Amino acid sequence: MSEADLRPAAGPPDEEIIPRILAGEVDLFEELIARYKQHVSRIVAGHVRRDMIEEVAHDAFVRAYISLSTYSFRVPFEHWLARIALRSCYDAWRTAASRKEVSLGGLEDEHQQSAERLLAAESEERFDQLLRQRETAELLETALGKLSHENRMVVTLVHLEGHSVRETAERLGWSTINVKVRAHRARRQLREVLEKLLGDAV
Amino acid sequence: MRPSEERIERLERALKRAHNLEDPPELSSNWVYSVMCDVRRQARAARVTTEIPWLVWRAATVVVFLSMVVVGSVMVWNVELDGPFASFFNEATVDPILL
Repeated sequence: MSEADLRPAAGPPDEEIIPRILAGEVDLFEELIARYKQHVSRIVAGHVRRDMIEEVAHDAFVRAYISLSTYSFRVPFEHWLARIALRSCYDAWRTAASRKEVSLGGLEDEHQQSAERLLAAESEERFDQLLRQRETAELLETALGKLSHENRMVVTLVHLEGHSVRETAERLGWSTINVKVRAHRARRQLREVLEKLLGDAV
Repeated sequence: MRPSEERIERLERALKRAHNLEDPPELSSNWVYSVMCDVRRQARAARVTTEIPWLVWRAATVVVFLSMVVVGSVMVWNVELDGPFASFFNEATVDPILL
C-alpha cells in the first residue's frame, strides 16, 4: 500500500485533526482510526498470529492516543503509527512468551509434510494454491515462532516484506548497524530452522 | 541427511510469498467502538490527573481570600464596636510608646 493510498479522500488533514484531539475533541480520534486501521492491521498481521491481530491493533491505537502529544509532525503520521504498532507486536510476543503461549515444541510431522508438498508442487498453479492454504501459514508461523522476538521482527521486515535496512531501523528505533547484524543473524537462524525441518523430513 | 541449499532456498522463497499473500482481516465497527471506549477512558483519566492539581490551587486561593476577608472584618468590627480586641488595636494605633 503506498502512502498516497493512506491519504484521506475527504475531510480535514491529519495535521488539523491531531491538535483538535489534543485540545479535547477526543471523538475525532475515530477519524484517525478509520483512516489507518487497515494500515495498522496489515503491519500487525505480518508479525503476530492471526488470532492476536485485533487485540494488538487495539493496543496500538490506544498507545497512539496516549502518546499523541509526542507526535512532532516531522514524519508522516502513518510512519509514526507503524512504529507504535511494531512496538505493540513486540510486547505482545513478550507477553505471550511469558505466558508460555508460544509453542516451543519441535516441528511436527504436519509441518514437514507441508514443506515437502510446497517443494514438490508440479505446477505454478498448484504452488500458488498451496501457498494460500492454512497449513502453509501455520508452517511459516511455526518457523518464525522458533526465533527470538527481535529476530522475528527483523526477519519479517527485511526478508519477508523487503523493507530496506534504513526503513527497518527507522521503524524499530534501532541503529542501522544493529538492524544489519540482526538481520543477518536472524536469517541464518530461520534457515537453520528450515534446514532442520527439511532434514527431519528426509 | 542434510537438505540441499537449493531446497532450503526454495522453501524460504515459498514462505516469503505466502507471507505476502496473506490479507489482513477487516477490522469491524465493533472493534472501532471498543478502541474508542478505551480511548475515552484514557481521556477521562488524563483529565482527572490534570484537573486535580488545578482544583487544589483554586480551592487554596479561595480559602486564602476568605481568610483575609474574615480577618479584615474582625479587625474592623473590633475597632468600631469596642470588641474584645479593640484595646489592642486602639493602643497599637494611639500609644506613642508602641508607635
